[in-house]
Amino acid sequence: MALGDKKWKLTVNHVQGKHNDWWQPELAVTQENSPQAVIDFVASFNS
Amino acid sequence: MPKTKEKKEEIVEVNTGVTAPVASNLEFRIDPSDINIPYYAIKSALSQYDAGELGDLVVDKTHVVAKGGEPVEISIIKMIKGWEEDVKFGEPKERVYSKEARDDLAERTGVPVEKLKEFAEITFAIESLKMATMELTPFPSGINSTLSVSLPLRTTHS
Repeated sequence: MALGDKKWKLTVNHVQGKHNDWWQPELAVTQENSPQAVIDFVASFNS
Repeated sequence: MPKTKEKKEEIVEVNTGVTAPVASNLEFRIDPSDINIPYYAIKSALSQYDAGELGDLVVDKTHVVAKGGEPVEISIIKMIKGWEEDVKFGEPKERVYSKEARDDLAERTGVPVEKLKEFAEITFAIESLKMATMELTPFPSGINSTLSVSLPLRTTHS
């Protein structure tokens, strides 16, 4: 399965450290399939 | 025998201004050079632009694509694994993208392989918002902008 076959979610989360805090981007894969148009787009982009 | 008149039909070619499709343009193909790659950033206290609030994903320093803490749907286009030196923030560091180059970097710098930082260089596309698109982002609806970021190798599943 290619990475583009599933939808992903990008979230910028706030992380609190002991002395400082920052915003961290995180990725999570979902169980939802990408539309065929997206799959075709990714394939053409990488070909 | 009576003479018959032969009716001739004249074929008139009308120029409609529309070009007939040919095999080469029936399918629109794009390649990476056709894609506008904008500048994305996460708004922080050190950011020197007005758009957005802390933690917002901002494109071209002018438009908020995603609010901090709120997920945005993306499509992964490609992902490359790499290794880099573990140095202080702001100091130059070398990045490599193969195990052979990783071992060479460790040997040249005297840093054990396990002390090098792993990362993933990810290129993905964000679907533009469908409502009030032109007010929110300078891009029309559709998958049309890509973003490359480097993330530590850690993902979660939802």
